[in-house]
Amino acid sequence: MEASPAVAGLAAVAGKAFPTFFSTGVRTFSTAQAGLERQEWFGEDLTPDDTPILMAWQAPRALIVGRSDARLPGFARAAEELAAEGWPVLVRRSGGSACPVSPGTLQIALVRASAGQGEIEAGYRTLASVIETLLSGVNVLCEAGERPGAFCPGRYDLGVGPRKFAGLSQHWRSRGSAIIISTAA
Amino acid sequence: MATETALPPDLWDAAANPEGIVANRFFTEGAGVRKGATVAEIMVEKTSFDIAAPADGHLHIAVGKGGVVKPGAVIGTVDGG
Repeated sequence: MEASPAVAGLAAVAGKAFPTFFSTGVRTFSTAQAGLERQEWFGEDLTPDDTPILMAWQAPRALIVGRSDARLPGFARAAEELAAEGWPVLVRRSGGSACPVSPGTLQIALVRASAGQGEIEAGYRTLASVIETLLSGVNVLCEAGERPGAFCPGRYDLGVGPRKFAGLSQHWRSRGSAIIISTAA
Repeated sequence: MATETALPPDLWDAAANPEGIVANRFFTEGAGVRKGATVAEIMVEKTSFDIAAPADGHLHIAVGKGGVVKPGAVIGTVDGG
């Protein structure tokens, strides 16, 4: 499966616009599970001296849920039924509610290692800024902010006008003396 | 000897987000854990923090799932006995 020209173009802009990040370009995976695993793997070898990694990926459809969703009563059966209908269910480490992956969605993650405690706000601001800048390059004005009535609302939701098109979440974990911080949209 | 499982006092900026919640507990009371294993997940505004066991031993829970916590809170202990 290849990324659409528009999406590939965004990835190219990312590499040029954000030289302080290492951009992987748009990766296409045969399954969403493979994409999620790669996204979550990127932090394994990062050190605070390494350049943060900006990763964008696409995959066939799946439903990605948080760990809290996965521990709800009836989850196993629901996941089984959804998989039988062509919607495999995956569990991610970052926060937020269920979100769909499909050939029409683009998943973006910014992964870095910090020597000390960082700020939640900084992670959200950075990735929101990346996406806002990317879309401004194709004359789409998007802004961060909560939209009334949006699914899984958050202060760093991204939208065009009143319509939300992306939500951001983070996952922080210790690895030795470093903190691995993943911010994802 | 019991070792506290404490949230780092600067885990998040309490001025911006005063409280978080214990979103998940991954081991039950008394379960054996290894140092470094993820024993709890703290959620602050869609940011998930993995909390690791500070030592090998048996887990004792002070703040259960759904509990509200602040940076620096002690959410349990690990008893090496």
